[in-house]
Amino acid sequence: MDPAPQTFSSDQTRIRPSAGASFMCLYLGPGVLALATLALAADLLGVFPASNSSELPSARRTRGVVVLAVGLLLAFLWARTQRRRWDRLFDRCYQDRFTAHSDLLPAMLWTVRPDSMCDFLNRAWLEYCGRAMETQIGHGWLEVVHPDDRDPCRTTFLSAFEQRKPFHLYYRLRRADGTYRRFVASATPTHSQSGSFSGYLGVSIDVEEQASAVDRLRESEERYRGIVEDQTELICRWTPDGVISFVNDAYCRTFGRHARELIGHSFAPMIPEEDRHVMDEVAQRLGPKEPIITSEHRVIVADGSVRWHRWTDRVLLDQSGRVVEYQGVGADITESKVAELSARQANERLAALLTREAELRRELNHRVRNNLASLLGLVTLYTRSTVTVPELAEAIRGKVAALREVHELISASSGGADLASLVSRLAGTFAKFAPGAGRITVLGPTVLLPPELASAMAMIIQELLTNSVKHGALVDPEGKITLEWAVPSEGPGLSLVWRERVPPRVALADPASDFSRDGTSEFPPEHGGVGLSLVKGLASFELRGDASFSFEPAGLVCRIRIGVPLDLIQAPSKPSGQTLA
Amino acid sequence: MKVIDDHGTKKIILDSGRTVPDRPQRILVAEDEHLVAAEITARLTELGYVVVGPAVDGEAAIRLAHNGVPDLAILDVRMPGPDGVAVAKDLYATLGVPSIILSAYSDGPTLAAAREAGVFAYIIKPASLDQIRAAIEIAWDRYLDLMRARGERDELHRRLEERKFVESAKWILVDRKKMSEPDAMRALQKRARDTRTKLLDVCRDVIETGEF
Repeated sequence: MDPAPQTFSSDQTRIRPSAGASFMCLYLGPGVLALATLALAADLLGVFPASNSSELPSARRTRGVVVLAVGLLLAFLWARTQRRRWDRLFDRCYQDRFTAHSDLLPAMLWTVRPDSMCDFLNRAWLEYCGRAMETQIGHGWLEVVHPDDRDPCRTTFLSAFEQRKPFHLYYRLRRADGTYRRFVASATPTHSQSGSFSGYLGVSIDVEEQASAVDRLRESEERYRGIVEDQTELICRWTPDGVISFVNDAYCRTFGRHARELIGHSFAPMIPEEDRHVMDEVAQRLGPKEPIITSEHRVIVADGSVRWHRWTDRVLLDQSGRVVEYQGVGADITESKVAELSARQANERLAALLTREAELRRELNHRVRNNLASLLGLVTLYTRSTVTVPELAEAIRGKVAALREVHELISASSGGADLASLVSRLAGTFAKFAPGAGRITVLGPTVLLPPELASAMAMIIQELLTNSVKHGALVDPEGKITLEWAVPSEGPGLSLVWRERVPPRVALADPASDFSRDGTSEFPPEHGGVGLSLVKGLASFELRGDASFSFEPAGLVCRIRIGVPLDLIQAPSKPSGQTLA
Repeated sequence: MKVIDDHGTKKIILDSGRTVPDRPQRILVAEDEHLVAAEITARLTELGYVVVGPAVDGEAAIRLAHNGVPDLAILDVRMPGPDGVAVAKDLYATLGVPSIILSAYSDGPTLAAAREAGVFAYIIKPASLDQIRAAIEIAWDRYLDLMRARGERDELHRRLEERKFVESAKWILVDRKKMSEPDAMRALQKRARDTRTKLLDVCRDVIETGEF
């Protein structure tokens, strides 16, 4: 009995009847035949006692066995035939439905028979190519493959076929309008229900858009790479642990190494030890909050020299904000750095000069004004005590001359006036009043007096010389003066002794002298004249010390103490003497 | 600040209690250069002032001022020890003595330091007699003006504090005795009159005890 014919169309969802119906359709006829055979055989074999046939039992039994065997064999053959017919019908229905559904897919679907001949291409393929199914089946599909892709396709296709393995193809297919678009085909082997190889089921997907995008990206990357490689600036990328992941040609040229020698290694050796902290600080600061940092540091280039680089470093983050890499663009700024340093040093020198100039001007103003004030003081001092204008003029002239000598001496030296030279110069101005050799002797270590002290000391010595010429040792042709100084054993400064020696026959004191004595060996200040007041005042104010006068049998002795610490004293081991005039 | 007549000489009693003449008489001089010191001493003497000193350095100047407070001080800027600006600041802060700076420096920083120290005049060396006299007179007038203004300010401050005191006491009565503001004021004044005490003492008693 044939199973009930069933028609499957693309809009049907049921492809197989229920189990009961299938059983009924397939096996009802063979079953009935088997039952009839069993019944007949049973009758012949005398299973039913009511049978009263006249046939011999043995003959009936033989016929019964034969009937049973033949009947069951026929029923089995019938059932198997039914099953095969059912499978063919089901396959045809499945094929119809597969065809109908595959036509609905936007992708291209195709099947290949076990003999490598294409036997089906869906509507998408046919419409794309603008061809009929008959022209494409078999190996006709290769006709629309780009000529350059045919051999690779065929080779891959056949190779996979021999091995019964899935394969992928990448080829260009000609569209109905003659243009080629790129496709990716994936095919997998198919098997029948019995497990035998039944060919391949493949799908081809239009990847032109993606491929174009990839092309554009590749072109963009090529352009970018070209730009990067052509840059004169150094470009590199490195991972958070300081390992280089990319360098451009300029970077390689600068450090005299090939990219493969650099990538995968740290760049720390190329930075001087003392500047590595700059990179460490940059790495610590770079992040989402501070994505770009510019820094300057030194590098050791190919020839071993040290150059200055300015690097603009950027952090590269992933979508979660995690640091993936750093990228740096560097430029050699050695020339500008050197120029900048030179300019800065020049500016600093200029600023220092300007400051020094301002200080000098300020000090000059101060000294000029102070000297004028001192001159006014001198005039006031002498005006109160001198009788005549010539005396006043002489006194002022003498002090101004002393100041001039100090000025000359200080101008010729650096920062001070040598005490011995000062006395020598001042003695020189009195040479015409005290002719003869060896009249004045100085004895003491070399001392440089600061300008303020030198001026005061000059006026003191000038005053002492004036007095000596008028009333003291220098009046007598054999009179002599010794000025001796020494560094005191205790306390700061310097101790000086002005000692005049005159022969006993000379009258020592003149009642008109500034330093006239009152019969005692020491002069009370109130009894002194202007000269005494001046010497004592200068010793007290400028020298921060004191001065005392006494008459000894040999002549006037003036002891002066300088209380200011003198840093410029250069004391030889043994004081040296010098005869000045 | 009060002006009194002391045997024909006008004297001014400052609010700080210090008594000064209507024009300075004793002037402290501090100058580390002998001739300049002699010059300024001579000039001041010529102008009729009594010179205290001259002090040879800043420490000596301060010591002399504390031994006998001068009316005014003329100080050199650059001296050993504390400089003139520091001495001026010290003398004004401790003794209320105004100062004049006498210096050969006229640069900005030195002037700024002098201004900050509150000196009352600045003379550039070498100074003439007229310059010294004018500087002294202007400095002294400025000093007296300042003292007068300071006295007025202190008086106003005191009155304001008293007013706050009276207001506090008055509002205590308004709050606790349910008096009107004028009645509370009148009650305080009446209590002062009745007890022959100062209004301020009555108010203090009200504030401290909370009772009336």
